[in-house]
Amino acid sequence: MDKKVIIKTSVVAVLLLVTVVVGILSFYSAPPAEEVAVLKRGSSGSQVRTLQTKLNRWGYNCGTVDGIFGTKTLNAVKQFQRNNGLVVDGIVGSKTAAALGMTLSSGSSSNSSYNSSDVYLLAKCIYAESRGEPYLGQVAVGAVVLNRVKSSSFPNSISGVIYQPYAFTAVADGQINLEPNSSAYSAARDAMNGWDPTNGCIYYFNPATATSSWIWSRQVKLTIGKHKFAV
Amino acid sequence: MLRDASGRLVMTKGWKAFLIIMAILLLSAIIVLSVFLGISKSQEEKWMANSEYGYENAYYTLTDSLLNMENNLSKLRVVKSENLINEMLVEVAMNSQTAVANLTTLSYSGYDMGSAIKYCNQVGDYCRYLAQKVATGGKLTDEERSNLDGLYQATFKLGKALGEVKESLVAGNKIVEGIGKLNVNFVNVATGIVDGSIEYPSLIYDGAFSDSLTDREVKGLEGEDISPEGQDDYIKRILSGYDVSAVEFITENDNGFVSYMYQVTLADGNIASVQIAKQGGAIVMWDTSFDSQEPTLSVDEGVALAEQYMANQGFDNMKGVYACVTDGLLYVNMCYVKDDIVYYPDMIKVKVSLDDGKIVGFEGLNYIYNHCERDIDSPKVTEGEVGNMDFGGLNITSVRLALIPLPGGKEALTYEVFGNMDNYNFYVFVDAQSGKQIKVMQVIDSDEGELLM
Repeated sequence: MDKKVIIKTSVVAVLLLVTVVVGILSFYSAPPAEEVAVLKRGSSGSQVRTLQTKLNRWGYNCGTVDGIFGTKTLNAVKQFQRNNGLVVDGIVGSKTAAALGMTLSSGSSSNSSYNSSDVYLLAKCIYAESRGEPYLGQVAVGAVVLNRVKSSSFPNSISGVIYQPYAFTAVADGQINLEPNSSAYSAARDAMNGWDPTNGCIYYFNPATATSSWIWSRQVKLTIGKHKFAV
Repeated sequence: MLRDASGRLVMTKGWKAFLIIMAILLLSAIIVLSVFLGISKSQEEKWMANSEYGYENAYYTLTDSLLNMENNLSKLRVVKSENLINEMLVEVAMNSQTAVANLTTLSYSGYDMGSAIKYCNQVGDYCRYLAQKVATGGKLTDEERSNLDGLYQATFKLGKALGEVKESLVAGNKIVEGIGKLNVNFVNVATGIVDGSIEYPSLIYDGAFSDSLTDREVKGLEGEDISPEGQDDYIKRILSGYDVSAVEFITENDNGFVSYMYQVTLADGNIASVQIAKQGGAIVMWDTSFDSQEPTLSVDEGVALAEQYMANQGFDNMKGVYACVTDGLLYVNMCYVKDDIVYYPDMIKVKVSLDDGKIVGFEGLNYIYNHCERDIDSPKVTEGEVGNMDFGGLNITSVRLALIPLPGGKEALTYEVFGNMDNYNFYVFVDAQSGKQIKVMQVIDSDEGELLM
């Protein structure tokens, strides 16, 4: 075997090793993403809704006001920036926000207008547990959380119920940290205002994925979408 | 590699260098990986230790609060002074809340701890109820004293059962034995306090967690039972502001009373859900999802639309009493009002889109449970007398008669005194017979809410 081959092999081996090690280390030490007070593609929440409402009102078509910064919103923002002599980057920072007559809050850009943390928490739980379910099913999941708060067999606060260990699979597997969409917010508000399609159920489960045999012993009262609601 | 004259393998220089490089690489890979694994192992140990501290903290706080409950319940067996009784009942109630919070933390499967949490919640609620009774001049009855004795016994047994965990900890065991693995003694004890081996007394009293509330009476339903089929026209009348393209019966809910649930497809492709009662077909609730829009209507205009909708649906005397706006959506709380008395238990909530004035939702469970004709005693206290009472620094803006729900399913005729102080709105409810203040509410989310009448 000649030297060139050996050197080549060694170089490839070293590179491979470095890649693997760096990969492993960076995977475990990824720094948390910084929260910056801008709205951009992928942002969601009430500030995006405000943005969309304002753009729509001024004739920049964002489509439905859904609180999600998608392609239509992006194009509308770019058009707005173009017409107002701003840098056309599709990102709503302080200058674009000022031109729009909006104030962006620092920190999380998505939930600032909800001064009640309970609505936010409930919306997160609803989104994590029942996105993709019919709207009524989302309201019902919110109602179950609130029925638990009222029930003597569960903690007496919304946060206590949601974060009760192992009570919700979406909390256990981290999906609770996803940013809720406008439908989840809407369902959370309905539930908090008393809408309860289940009339007092305190359990629900998806028969296709439920792992606890105990849950089957509960008395099922109705099914909405994929969830069975029980007492 | 080559073979020499005798046929043995001989290593060339190049091969030697290659093998040495590979050996060094392998060695450094092993070192890097073992350092990394060592770090993650120590991180895992730290995580487990923290998890263990969380459990142990919850455990010790729980046993402390149970011991405080037990001591006070024990003392209550001999104390006769109202002041002391009140003080001890409040102590039990406070400690029961701590116990509930920590029982929750000790949950290990999501469906456990229910009966122990229920017990602690009930003890707290019952003791608060008794404390209020004693504070307003009442005396404990023999039955209540006997109940307190029962609670003492059960709390003692609960504390004793949990004591086994401490023995296990003293013996050097941990609660958290690995990721997702809890000590078997701990799980046995935790199971033991909820599997029925400790008998928790059943409590019936006028409180939110009373055992008497499990079967709630339905007062507002009347008429003959209806069939779930053939209700399309009725459903279309309920959704009068919409162009309905299809009505589909989905399911029946027999929780509390039987209701039928329908999925309604609207002409614009959106979906509405409607629930009506089997008995008489009363509207239980209906709902649509709502995309927030910039409001074009005022709150007053929205409330007028809600009242008009109620009248169209055949509800008489329903008036908007409170409204709040979020994201262009108006929630109106409407109550039955008769002879200038607001009946808060008979409440219906209606959602109005302030963009186009459409009614987008209706919630009538409370009305169905509570609405009935009542015999109301005329108030002994006059409105003028209430207006002259001392409410601290409250700037009173209105006083009116209101029937309010009380814990345990009871109701009381009161004067609702509405006012503000330091930019906060308050409702103080004064019993119309005794003149005593029996409830106070502060509007905490007052940014966009307002009193309507």
